[in-house]
Amino acid sequence: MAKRGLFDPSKMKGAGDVPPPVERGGDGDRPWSVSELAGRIDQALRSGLPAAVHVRGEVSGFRDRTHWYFDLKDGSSVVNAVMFASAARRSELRIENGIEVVARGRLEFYKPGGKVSLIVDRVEAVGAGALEARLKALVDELRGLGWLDQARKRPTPVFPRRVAVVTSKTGAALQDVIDTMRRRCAAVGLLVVDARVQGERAAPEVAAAIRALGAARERLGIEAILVTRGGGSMEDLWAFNERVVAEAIVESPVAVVAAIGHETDVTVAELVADARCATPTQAAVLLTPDRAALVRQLDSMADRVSLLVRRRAAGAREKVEALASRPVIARPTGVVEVQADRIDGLRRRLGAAARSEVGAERDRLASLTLRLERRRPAAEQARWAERLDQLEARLGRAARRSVATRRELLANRGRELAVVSPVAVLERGYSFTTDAQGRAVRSTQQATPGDSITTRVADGTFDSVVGGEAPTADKLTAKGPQLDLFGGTRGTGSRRKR
Amino acid sequence: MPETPKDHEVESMSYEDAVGELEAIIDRIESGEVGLEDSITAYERGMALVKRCRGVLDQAEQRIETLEASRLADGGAEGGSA
Repeated sequence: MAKRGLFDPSKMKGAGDVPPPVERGGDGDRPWSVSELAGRIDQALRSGLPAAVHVRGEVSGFRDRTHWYFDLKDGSSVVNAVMFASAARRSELRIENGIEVVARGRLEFYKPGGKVSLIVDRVEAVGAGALEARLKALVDELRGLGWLDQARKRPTPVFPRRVAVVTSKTGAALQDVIDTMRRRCAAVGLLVVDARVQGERAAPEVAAAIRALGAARERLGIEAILVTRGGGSMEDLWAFNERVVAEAIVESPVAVVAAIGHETDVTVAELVADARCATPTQAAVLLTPDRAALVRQLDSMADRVSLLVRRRAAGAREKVEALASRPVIARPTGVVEVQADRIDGLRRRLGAAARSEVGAERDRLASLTLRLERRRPAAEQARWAERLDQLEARLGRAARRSVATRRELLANRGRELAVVSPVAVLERGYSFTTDAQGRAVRSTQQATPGDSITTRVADGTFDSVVGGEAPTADKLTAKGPQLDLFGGTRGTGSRRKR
Repeated sequence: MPETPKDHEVESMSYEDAVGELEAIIDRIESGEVGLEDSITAYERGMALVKRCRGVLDQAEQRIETLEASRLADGGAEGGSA
């Protein structure tokens, strides 16, 4: 690709100049100068080829720099081409990489650059280029396999310790990667795996490198693989459109980032990679943390830890202070004093309790002693004797009282008796008659003439015989006075008793 | 809390592991589930992790190693190459 840069149209003015006449120096006479040779080449081109040629080929390495520069390619050859601005402006076809065109122009030898160029004045499309078609077919196939699915893709590490870069040791891409990574964060180590990135052997070499890195990832300590190369023609980048590379990427146990060519170039490697970046620099940014941001984050975390622990310690200190200010700690003797007071109080209470207890016990003991004393046989005996004496006295008193009472009662009764005594009645002149059977004769009916009767008077008795006729009744035989005469049944019982 | 921080252990930690543990420590202290003494131990370890992380970030020299792809495939491709 660098070679194409040597073609400078501003220096093409000389191209139309008449070449210096060819000096046919004799054999070994004098060597041609380079310019002489260049002139001879240019002349040979003009004379040996038609003034205008039609060339069919695939466009690649297209660059629009006022003038259009591109290559025309087929399977094995490349010809540089340039379309000057005046011709480019007129062109109906917008040239782009990969399209197949038929270009019309003339060949010139650009002496300052030593290159043959096709000066194109017209270009026509021939349909999609063959490489483009192959690429499309492969992409379709891989999409069908799911290799392009975002879901399949792994995240790239935020802060890998080491990144492997598969690229050309001499390419501009590597320098971009190194510079960017060093600038962002030098802590990310780099393992550069020098591989061909162009040409037929590039694809197998890149694929093998990816596989080898994956297999040795532990030993090498790599956490991501960056596959990259700088911009170039489609042919230059073609290795990254090969299936073998895509397969190695998809099967890699380590996340793969791909940045191939310029932003407009999309290769299969990029489509299947875990992350795609437009340029090597962008890929380096993706795989390297921003040191400044990390430092800020770390500072903030360190501050937070310190603050948390300080706050925690302050809280604990406050708690300790609060405890320390409590009387127990602040005036430890106070506790002792309080306890001493308490003990004194208890002692006092204990004394009082003991005293009162002893008093109660003493009382109880006295009472028990008394009871015990009473239970003593002598005392018991004495008590009984005493009781007996009392009873005896009582009995005496009762007896005496009873005799007196009876005596008086008897006297009374005697008097009562004297009052109602028949003797007294008889003494007053009355008499008392009984029949032979001793029954009192109370009625005339009981006195039949002839009956023997006995009559008692005050000083004795005498017998009589009822004479005459039947006795006559009179009023005197009424019941009342008779009853009165011997009245009162009350005293009868007691009289009989005595 | 695996006892006191061991310098050699912290020193070999990756930046991400160290930061991850630091975050866990902050969470733990913040949640208040650790006692004061434990939180001080955690703080010490946190500071060791911070130091480790700063050490990584302060690394000025980028370590670059270069290998030939062919040699890598020969020497390191236990899994074989395509």
